[in-house]
Amino acid sequence: MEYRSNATKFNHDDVIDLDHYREAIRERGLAPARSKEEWLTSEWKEIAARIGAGATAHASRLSGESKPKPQSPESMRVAAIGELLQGYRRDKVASSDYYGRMAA
Amino acid sequence: MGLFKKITSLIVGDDTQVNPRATAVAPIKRLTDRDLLKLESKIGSTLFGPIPKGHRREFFCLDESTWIWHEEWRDDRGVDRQMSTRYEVHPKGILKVTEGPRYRFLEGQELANFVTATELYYEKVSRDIYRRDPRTGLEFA
Repeated sequence: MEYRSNATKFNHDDVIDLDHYREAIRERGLAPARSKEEWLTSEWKEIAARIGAGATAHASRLSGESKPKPQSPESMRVAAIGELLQGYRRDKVASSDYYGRMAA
Repeated sequence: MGLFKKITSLIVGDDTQVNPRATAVAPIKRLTDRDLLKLESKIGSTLFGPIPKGHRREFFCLDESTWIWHEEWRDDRGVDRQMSTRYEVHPKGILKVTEGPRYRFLEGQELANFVTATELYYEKVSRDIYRRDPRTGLEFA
């Protein structure tokens, strides 16, 4: 199935299930397994600090609430991908030699 | 320094940090996050179909909670144009931030498209740059 927006075009057949990515995060120790409550506290605080108070306040107004609710499935999936990529980057930077070559 | 300026600096570099003598010889240095972001962005820019002639596109995961779409082109009147969009991961959803700044949570087809783009990005970047199996996270033998 293929769908389009103004600027995007995707082949839906390429879409893959991301549940195993979160599992991979736990297995590889890239991030500690967190309960939903922990996502709502520590993670939210981290994100809020990073994006700044202005955007956070605006996001709260947009969502019509003063306290964050459980993460949406989409947020969880995208956050999982981001965490994995950050872990891969850290590993790659650490394993590259002084000539910028990537370790085998 | 504003975020968009930081992003631009990440993408195109910062002249104030360039040592001309160093660039004349082999790059004797470790890979940096910026090097990897540029490699990732090269793949990310291909996820949305052909790039129009004269356009330059960047799409990459800046950190755990931020994705960037940056596009530059010259319009019909010869004026250089650019557009940067930041996507932030929030507990409530994905917040789209465009210059202005304007804020809006993604929804509907646009949200589905964005999530799909990040999945494809992960799939391709894992394989092509980090040489890892995207399903297990393990490095290829």
